[in-house]
Amino acid sequence: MTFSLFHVALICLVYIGIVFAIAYTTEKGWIPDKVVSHPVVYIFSLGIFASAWSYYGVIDLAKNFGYGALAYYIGTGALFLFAPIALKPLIELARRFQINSMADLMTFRYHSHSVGGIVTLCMLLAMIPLLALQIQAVGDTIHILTRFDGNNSLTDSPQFGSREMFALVYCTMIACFALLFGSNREHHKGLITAMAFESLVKLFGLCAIGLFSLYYVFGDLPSLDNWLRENPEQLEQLYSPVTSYSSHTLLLVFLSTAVSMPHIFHITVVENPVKHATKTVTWAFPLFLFFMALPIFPILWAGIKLDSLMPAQYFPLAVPIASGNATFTIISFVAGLSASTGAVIAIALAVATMIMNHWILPATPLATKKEIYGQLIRIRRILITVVIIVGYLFYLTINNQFTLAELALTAFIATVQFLPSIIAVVHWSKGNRRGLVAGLFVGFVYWFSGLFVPILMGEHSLTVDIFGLQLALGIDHWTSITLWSLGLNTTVFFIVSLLTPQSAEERYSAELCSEDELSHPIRLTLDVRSPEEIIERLSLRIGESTARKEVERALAQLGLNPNERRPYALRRLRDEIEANLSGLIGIAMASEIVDKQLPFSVPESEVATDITLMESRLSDVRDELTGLAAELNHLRLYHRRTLEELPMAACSVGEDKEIMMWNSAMIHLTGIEADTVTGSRLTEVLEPWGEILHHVSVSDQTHFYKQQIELAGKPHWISLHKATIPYSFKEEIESQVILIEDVTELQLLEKELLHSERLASVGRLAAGVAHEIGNPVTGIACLAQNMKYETDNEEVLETAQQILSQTDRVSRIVQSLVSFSHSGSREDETFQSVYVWECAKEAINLIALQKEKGQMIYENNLPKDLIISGDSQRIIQVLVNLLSNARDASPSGTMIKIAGAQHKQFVEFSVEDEGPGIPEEIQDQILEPFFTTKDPGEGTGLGLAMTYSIVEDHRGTIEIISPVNEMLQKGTKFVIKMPAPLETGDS
Amino acid sequence: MSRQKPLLIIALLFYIVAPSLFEWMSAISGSWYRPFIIWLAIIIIAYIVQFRDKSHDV
Repeated sequence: MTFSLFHVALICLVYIGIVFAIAYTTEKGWIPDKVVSHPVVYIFSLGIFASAWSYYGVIDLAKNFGYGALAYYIGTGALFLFAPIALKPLIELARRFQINSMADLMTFRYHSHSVGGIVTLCMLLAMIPLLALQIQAVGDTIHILTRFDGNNSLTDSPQFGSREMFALVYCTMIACFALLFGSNREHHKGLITAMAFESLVKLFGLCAIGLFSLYYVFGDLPSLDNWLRENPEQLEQLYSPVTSYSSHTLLLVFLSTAVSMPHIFHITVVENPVKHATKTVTWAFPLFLFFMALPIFPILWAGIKLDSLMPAQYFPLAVPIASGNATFTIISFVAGLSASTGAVIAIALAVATMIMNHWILPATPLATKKEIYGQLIRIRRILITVVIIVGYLFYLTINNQFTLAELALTAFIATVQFLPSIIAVVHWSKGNRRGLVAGLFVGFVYWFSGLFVPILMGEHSLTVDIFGLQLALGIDHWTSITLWSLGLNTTVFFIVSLLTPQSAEERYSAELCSEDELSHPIRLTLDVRSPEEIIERLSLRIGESTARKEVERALAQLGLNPNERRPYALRRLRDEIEANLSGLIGIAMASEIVDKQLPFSVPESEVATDITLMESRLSDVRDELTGLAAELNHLRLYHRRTLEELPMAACSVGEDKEIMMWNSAMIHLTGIEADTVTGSRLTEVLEPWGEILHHVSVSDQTHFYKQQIELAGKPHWISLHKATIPYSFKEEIESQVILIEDVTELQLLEKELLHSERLASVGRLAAGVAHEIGNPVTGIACLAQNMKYETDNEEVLETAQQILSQTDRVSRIVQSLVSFSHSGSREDETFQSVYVWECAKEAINLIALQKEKGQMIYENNLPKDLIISGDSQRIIQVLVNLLSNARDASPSGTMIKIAGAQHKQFVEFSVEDEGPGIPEEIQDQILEPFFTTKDPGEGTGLGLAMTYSIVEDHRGTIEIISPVNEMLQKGTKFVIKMPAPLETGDS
Repeated sequence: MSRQKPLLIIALLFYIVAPSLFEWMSAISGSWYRPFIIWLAIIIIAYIVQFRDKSHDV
């Protein structure tokens, strides 16, 4: 059964068209994100691992090695099954440092650009046979469908024939696809979805042919068993090769391919679009492989049963052809085509990226005037084309003389050479770049001369005599070549690494990569002050528009503000830019550009650990910590919370005056959020905190008491205490902790105490004065008394009476001064019933005596029978004080009213003036002693204080209403309320 | 430190039962798909381990 070339071409075109459509619709966002980001899509995209070789070649392997062929699936399956151990460290590294390829990983771990270049060369050599394999599979299958009639051989076609032509057309179509969907750096969602679709197609195809073989060729499962019993040599063939060591070598080879193959590394480690898919991968990918492996043996036996003339590797196509079933033939062909397409695209992309990042970019600087992205896409497109052309040329050179299995083994054995260096990435930090280069050189030279060169020569086996040593080369001796090349490679890597020293940078990188990383993230100083400055500096290398785009992108990813100035944030920004650039131009170039344009200055002491970074890292992996680590983390959290919730404002600063911690009391005190201040310099903190904290931090003193600052327009007093935090292992001082105590209340209390002290001393003074004045006044009173007896002159008598009355008043005032200075209130026993009207009258008379002051109109509107219980002299004092204040405050000639009323529970009387009123902000203060608004010498500030004290002694209250007249905004009214006297009181 | 204990236990168990499994698998009288049964069993165990330990992200 043959198909016309037109039909086959049409099938190919339709299939590639579907793949194009899927990629295009995904890129356009027409397929829901839920579907595109589903773990199943990722699992299927991993299926590019199963290339044409695992669709066709593996049948040949099964024929020769029986169950040994399963090693291919078991090796890879085991790697994913143990992904938490085997792959996790690499995935983590790739995520953290934006590692994009095997060459990036090696460059990063071994801290050498040349290592990246060498690895790229080795990868290119290793991938050429694998590319040729895919092209050969497509060429052969098209040839089988259109030309093969069972008699002509597949391998004999010396000149460029139709098969080579088909292959060329196919390569061109695939190249177009890769150019369109794989050359930009965005997560190539379209590509991933297309790869997943291709995996689905090939899985479906293989399972369909397996079921076809079982039910169409054999009938059912028991029939297959019967056939096997009739052909016991087939069963024996299953087991016998398992016991030979070639199966173990196969297992070793296949185990390592899952990580060392560049395209599989890319999909497994780099394109890990769904964060949680890796969890599912542990069982889902082995399940995928299970279904890929299950049909192998039924297809093989069906091919044998049908006596197909085709080589075993094409049995998936031969079985439906021999059975004359066109539908299954097409299904099988499309599945095989799909397997090849996926692999070629993925390999071409991975290798092209590596070549660009490690060969082209380091050698040729990019034009900074133009958009860098366009240049990169152009370079990558050219490289993808070149890689596919190289694969095609190799395919032409080998001229179908090797089976798919042979080509695959050649490629796989080459990538096995990376195994020692990959293991050392995470598990052996002493492995160094000299060891890597030496080991890789030995291993690759052995592989190149043992497998690659014989293939180019078209030889399956040849023996070379070197220094009397018979070396068996060629693909027939692949087991010994694998073991020897890998053995020598490992030994040389090990010995050279042990014998040669590791540079400090390399050791640092190695420690970063090692799984139980013990290194401290060092806090380096960046001499950049703003994102704008970063743009300026990067412009020199990657052009302004690119620099701006990259900085904006990184800012958006980190959720930072474009005006960010915090050193911690700028450091994170720098790292993010470097990571993004790594994704764009490879880790080697990115780190070179960023290191040159935004260099870190090494701190003076090497122990400036980046606490903030450590914290954020620890909180990222919090849930994964177990055992001691988890306990330590709990302890850390406990201590952190203790500090956070400390009821005293505390902050810690690094040696470079960068704020590390800002606790909740600090937030409360300063009103500055921790997020906005952590990681910034002390001097950049909002005023007044920045200045005072910086002053404390740089000073030699450790305690600062009662520093006055202004907060919201009011004075506050704070005490600051500082302690230095020594680094745990060395005696060097790393950072400081500053405690801030808000002592405003204490300060106010102290002031009040001082005030009282002053008042008390005034009282003592008054007592002394009273004593001194008392005697002369008594003398004057006596003399006036005598004068009264010795004369009848009315005028003199009047004068003597006035003198007596005034001396009496002086004595009482002196007495009241003494009593004011005494603490505690007066006993109620001395209180009598007092007519307020009379007191007011006397007070008005006394005030009126002061002729030098302005004359006012006093209006005593008090009810005459208004009685309170109290000391009349002190009530007069209250009224005198209020009236004199009212007089002093009011314009001359205005009215001062005294009014009052009797209520049930209390008596109320008031003094009201027409002055300008008392401003609201000082109304609270006017009753305090020594508070005065009068000119110096005019008032003592004691009047109202004394009034207040007297009213309080009478258990009354004073209320100030100012302004009285809201319209004119003037007038003040003092309202005094005193308890009403009891009915039983004196009258 | 990652939670690798379940995986280590599986590896140890596998090491212990591997000889008998291998013998059972390669018995000539047995069915050709015996290795696949073991394979499927391992996948089921891996699924259960993963399912029970939701927080265990790789």
